[in-house]
Amino acid sequence: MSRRRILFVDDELQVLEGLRDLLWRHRRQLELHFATGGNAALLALRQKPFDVVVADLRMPGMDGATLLERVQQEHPGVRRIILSGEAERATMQRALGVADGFVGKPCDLSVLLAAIATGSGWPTQ
Amino acid sequence: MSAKLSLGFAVLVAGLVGIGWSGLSRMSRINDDLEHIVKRRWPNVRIAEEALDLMNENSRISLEMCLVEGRDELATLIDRQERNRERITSFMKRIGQDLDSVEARELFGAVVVSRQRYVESFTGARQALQAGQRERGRQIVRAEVVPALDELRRAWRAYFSFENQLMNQAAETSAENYQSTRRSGVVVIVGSAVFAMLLALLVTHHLDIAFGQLRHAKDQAEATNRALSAEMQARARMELQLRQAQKLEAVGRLASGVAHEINTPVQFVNDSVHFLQEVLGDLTGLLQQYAELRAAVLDGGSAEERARALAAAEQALDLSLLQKRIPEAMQRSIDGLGRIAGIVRAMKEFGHPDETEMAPLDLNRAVGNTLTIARHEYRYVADVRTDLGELPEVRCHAGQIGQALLNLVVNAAHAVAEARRGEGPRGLITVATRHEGAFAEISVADTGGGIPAAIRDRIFDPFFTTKEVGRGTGQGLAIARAVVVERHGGELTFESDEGRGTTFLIRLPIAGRAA
Repeated sequence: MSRRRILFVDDELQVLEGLRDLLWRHRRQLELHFATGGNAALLALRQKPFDVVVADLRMPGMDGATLLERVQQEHPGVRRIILSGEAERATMQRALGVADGFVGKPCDLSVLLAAIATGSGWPTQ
Repeated sequence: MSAKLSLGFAVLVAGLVGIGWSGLSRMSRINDDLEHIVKRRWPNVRIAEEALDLMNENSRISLEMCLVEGRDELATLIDRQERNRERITSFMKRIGQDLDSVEARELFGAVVVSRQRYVESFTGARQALQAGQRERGRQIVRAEVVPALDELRRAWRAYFSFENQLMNQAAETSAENYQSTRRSGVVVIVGSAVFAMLLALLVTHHLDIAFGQLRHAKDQAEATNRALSAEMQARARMELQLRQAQKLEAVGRLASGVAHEINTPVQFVNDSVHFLQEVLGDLTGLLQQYAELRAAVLDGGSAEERARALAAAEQALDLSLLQKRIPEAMQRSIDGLGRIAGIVRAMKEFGHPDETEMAPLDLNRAVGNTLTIARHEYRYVADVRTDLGELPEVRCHAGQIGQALLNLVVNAAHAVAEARRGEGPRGLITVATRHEGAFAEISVADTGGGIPAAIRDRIFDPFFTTKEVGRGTGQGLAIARAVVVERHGGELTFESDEGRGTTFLIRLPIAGRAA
């Protein structure tokens, strides 16, 4: 089985690093990529195929909902997951319309893995 | 009741005026009557009387004429009678010009007729006597002159009594009129007195009412005063509550942002600690293998196989990478916890309940706390630059000043976000502090859209807002102004350039509000 390619998008570098370390045990199964903004993420998606995009909602510049809309249009086969501590209802509703899954911040490993793996046939443990 | 009273007075006054008026007209009639009596009837009566006297005298003279012997005496008598006759003639002329009724004319006509007879008879007698025909003269006097005079006297008397009657009638009417006028005069006087009394009563009554109202008004004014001061106390309490409520609202609105701000470090600290825990297990296994290798080396046994296994384990663990990642994760955890601690500390300092006394405050620290709490409001739309000058501690209510400052920073963030409309370049919020004589100044400048000139004089009004529902209640600037100006005796001003941004300036007296 080829490694599953996942793109994490968050404006906080430390959040991305934390996620990378959290998934340390799965480094052999997962190919992790990181982008600190919507534009960087779209650039990465055009360069190579990804299985999953995990994006924060509130980011400077392009926000998460907009990014996921663009991903849905440009790369409909890519699974879209929201990873956010957002509580604002309007933002959430808009984002949920274009997302396949939602993970609240702070999250633990199993929840994150389940969201990434759902519907992929990929074992969560 | 006042209307009824007024009506009653109107009727009374109208009655009095009517009576008074009729009295006056009667007075004038009495006056006319009296004038008539005095000028017309009375002279006529007097003349008639006098004429009658003269006629009586002539009657006597006529009889004397029959008795006297001497010529001279006779001439004297004839002279006297002639003079009397002339006087009577003049009286009759006067009366004859002044006859004002048919009856009077008839009566007077009888007088004239009988007089004619008398004059004729007298003339005959005189001529006879003057001619010395004494017997014939006496004959004429007895047979003609005296009867003619008698008749004349009767005619006079008739006329005289008529005039007298007229005069008496006029006098009686006048007297009656006078009596009734006097009665109406009495009525008017009594009525006026009653009216005046009633008026006085009414005026007194109204004065009483007015004084009562005055007293009542005074009582009311006092009550209003008391209510007003109670109201003012209530207002002051309400203002305090409003400020607290706005603070809670501001904090509440910021709460989700603050939660998000805390969430982020919690997320990566959590991830990092889980990672560290996990690799610590791996490393513990690796250490065990190292211990076994050391024991094997010390025992002098074969170490090569164990060393090879160790190398494989190191490889499997990506040990060289871990050696880099572990300190990074440690540092990240420390950073994250620091961030959380900073936010919590800022919240704690910001959330100070309102102190009753002013206390010295490090304004620069307050600015830092405010920016920490509001970070989520501006971090996605603007960069923040601080230019904090050296400041002495400022005597103030720290919680209130923090609230005012927070309101300005949140407004600046909203202004920049509004101007960007989700796209445009990031804005800039500059917070600067400065020591300026007896004042400390804090300026909050944004690169938002500015405040339109049309609403500049309303922005400090309570409940005035341009923000959408749920984003602002219009209390922020009103509270900021109340805090800075009213609570601290400072100033809150602003300069705005449409399209380029707004700068708010807080000036606080360093020594605190002047008592």
